[in-house]
Amino acid sequence: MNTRSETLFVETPLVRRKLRQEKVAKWIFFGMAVAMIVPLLLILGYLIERAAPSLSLSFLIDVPVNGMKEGGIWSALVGTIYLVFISLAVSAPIGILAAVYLNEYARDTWFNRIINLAVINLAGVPSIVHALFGLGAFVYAAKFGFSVIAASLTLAIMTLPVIIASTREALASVPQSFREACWNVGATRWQAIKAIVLPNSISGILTGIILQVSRAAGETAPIMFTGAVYFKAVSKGDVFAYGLNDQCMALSMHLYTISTQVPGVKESIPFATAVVLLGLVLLVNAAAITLRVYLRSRKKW
Amino acid sequence: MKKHITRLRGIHLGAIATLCAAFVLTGCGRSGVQDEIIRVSRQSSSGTYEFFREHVLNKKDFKQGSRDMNGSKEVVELVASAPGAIGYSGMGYNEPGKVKMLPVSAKQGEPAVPPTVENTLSKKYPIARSLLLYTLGEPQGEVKKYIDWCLSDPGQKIVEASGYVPLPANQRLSGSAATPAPGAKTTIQVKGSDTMVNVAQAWAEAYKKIAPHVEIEVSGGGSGQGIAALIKGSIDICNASRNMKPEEIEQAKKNTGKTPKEFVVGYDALAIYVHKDNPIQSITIDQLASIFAEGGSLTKWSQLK
Amino acid sequence: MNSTDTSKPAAYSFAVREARRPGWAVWGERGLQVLIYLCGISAIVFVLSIFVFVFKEAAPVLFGGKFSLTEFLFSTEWYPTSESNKRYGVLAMIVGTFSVTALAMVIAVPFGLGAAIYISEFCGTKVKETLKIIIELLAAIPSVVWGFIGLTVLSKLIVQFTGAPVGVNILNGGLILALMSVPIIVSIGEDALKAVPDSYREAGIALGTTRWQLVRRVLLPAAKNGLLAAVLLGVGRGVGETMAVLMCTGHAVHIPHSILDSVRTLTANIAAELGEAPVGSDHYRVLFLTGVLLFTITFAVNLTADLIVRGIRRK
Repeated sequence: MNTRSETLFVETPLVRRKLRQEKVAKWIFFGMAVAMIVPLLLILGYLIERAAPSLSLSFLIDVPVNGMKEGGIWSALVGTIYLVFISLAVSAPIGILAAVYLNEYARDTWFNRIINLAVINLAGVPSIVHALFGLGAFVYAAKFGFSVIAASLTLAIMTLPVIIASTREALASVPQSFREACWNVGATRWQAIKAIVLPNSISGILTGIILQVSRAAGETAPIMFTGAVYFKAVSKGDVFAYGLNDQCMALSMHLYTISTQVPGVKESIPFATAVVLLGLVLLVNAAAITLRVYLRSRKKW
Repeated sequence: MKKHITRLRGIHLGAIATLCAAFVLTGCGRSGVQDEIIRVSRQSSSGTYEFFREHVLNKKDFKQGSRDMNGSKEVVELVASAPGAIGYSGMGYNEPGKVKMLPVSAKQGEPAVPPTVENTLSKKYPIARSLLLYTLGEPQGEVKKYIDWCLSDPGQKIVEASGYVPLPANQRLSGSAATPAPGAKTTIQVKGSDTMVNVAQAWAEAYKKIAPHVEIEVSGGGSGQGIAALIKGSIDICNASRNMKPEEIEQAKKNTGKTPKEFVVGYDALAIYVHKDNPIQSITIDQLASIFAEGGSLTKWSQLK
Repeated sequence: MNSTDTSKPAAYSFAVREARRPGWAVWGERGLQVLIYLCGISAIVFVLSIFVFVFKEAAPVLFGGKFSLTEFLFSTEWYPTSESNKRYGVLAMIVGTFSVTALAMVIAVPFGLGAAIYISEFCGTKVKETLKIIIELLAAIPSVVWGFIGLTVLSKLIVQFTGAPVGVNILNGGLILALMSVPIIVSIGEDALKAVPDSYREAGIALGTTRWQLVRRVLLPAAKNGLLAAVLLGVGRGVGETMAVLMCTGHAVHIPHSILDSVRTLTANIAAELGEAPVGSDHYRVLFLTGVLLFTITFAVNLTADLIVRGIRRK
């Protein structure tokens, strides 16, 4: 007698309505997910199309000429590279060591909870307040003046909290049993960190640092008041263009000045600058993501 | 009880939703003839802003609600995209075909004078101004050579090419500073007027070719920013499209011990820009004051006829 | 180092080694620990110094006497460079910041939460990976590029489709800020949904609910704290954004009367006027006071969001 099993899972109208609602809901949410992405892709396509006349290798290597109405963006590109390198050279070591402290050494006291709070709030400070601080502290108080070093230090403080946060996550993902195994054979805390924890979390650490490259390259307000200028004459293709005490041009600042202050500029140049900046940022982020995926696939636990 | 609460919540939400919809929809659908005058101005750091306030508004404050742009070019671009807009900017930022520069008359009934090179030099155009450089004390060494070069023929040619009025021949320096002798690497920091920033940049670009050991760093930000930095002593040359005020000169003397020295490097006409489709043909200073100043009564184009 | 202990039998001498680390290694490690500790407190040092510094510059005008805090916060007249009558009222700017952020949230929250729900509940792994990567790349776009897009592309579209007098207004700024905030809302919202224990979902499926019913009746109420934190972080980002709103909102000091009107935000106000205010003047100090105001708002928002997030992570 299998009449019972035939009546157990019959589709009633109620069930059919619920399934229809679910399908509708699924498509609505899919639409929402896509609705944010499609306009962006359209805008990017438009940018690339308007920038096409200017995009070429010589655009990257030439300097702006003729009152910045023509030419390339070399001086801004090399300035951005300087700023990014120096700021990360300062913030990466401090950030990694700070995360090591917070994750490995700190006990759960009120003091360490305050440090946690401080890291989170440093991450949320508006970029203009960073600019205010950089102006007052590095340009005037520390007497660096308007220079690459002041701008880089301001950027370093800006990127520090995210490096700390991502390094902490990377360190926390190493299983505690690894550390315990080290301690059991007599290693000190630092020996365990150096030999086991750091090498195993290097993927997360590197990803965090690489992601901050794009952030440091893209910020304008902090460098606008501390060391970036409208124009500085630099030779084409010169890699050692700026000293630590000079001011420099930067891609983000260049995009801002070209679109708001230079009259009569050839129309495709601001678009091309935006595309180069965007391309740089997206390339670096894509590299970070692939690195993360690759290293995670090699994890043995 | 719960039903009442939910009903109340519904009412409140409904009220908020209606307010929001009203806010959103008030703006939409307003197409066609724009009667309201859209004022395009500059930010307060700009020398152009200060000059306009002093000479056109008679030191009264600006009416709030104008779109305050960061740079001279942005003013012209905004006017070019908005048919009901009026703005002021240097005549070097003209974009023929998209905007037109109005002839200005000093008083009602006087003939309206267009902003041209001749009218600026002869001071017939009522809102003409000098383009200035300031240094702390007498300039020395490389800075002096640079300024001498700017004041001589090659520098003045660049002023002309940028759309401004160069110094007449009797005010220029002779071409003695044509090729400075090479020396140790020096950096000159130039900051200030946004009106002059493209001239300053063209100068820096050309000067680098004849004096490669001199690095010139140019920033804009407005005459106010340049003067503030000069007072602080952190730059070498300040570009300004307005004169330094007496209290600013006092402050510079107090801070750095040196008195700022002024150099006139060119002239500029402050042009009044309107959209190319705007039918208006000329304007007076009083009308400009009434449009832009606090307490002014002109808010619609129809009132100007 | 080999042992000099000769009391052990010779057979074991190779196995027994008195392991003693060289002196420099021990001291080096202690020194390193001090360095690590210093780096650890560096974050708190920097946050405190930013706040102290900004507050120190603002303090003289706050406690000076002839300045009124109520006038600062509630007056719409901002005339810091007036020759005759200096007035410092930032109400118009507060309304500007608030209106742009509110519009951005109204657009970004539904779309962001919808995307988060889709990614976490409805889609397969391949689509999930792709969407997550795209959203991450969206988050990386610099704010000056967003400002450029708003200034050149969006302003023309707005003028064309709504007949607005100018294309740089609240609508423009709000749309751009929404696109900038969506990635934060999506990623944190997705974290919040992932944090809901699987047992909830399994219980729902066991009772025969569809996925939509599961989301609406079970998951959203369970994850509402995390979703609220996501929204708050999006608000924090919106309030603190400088370059994009500087280029897109039209920079006009007045209370807007429609969504197509231009406004000035607190951040844009500081960015535009900071360079020219003579160091130490009232104008300079009032700008720093605005910075204190901004810092306080973002501090409060981020603190609340963090407390909520920590609450759900502990579950």
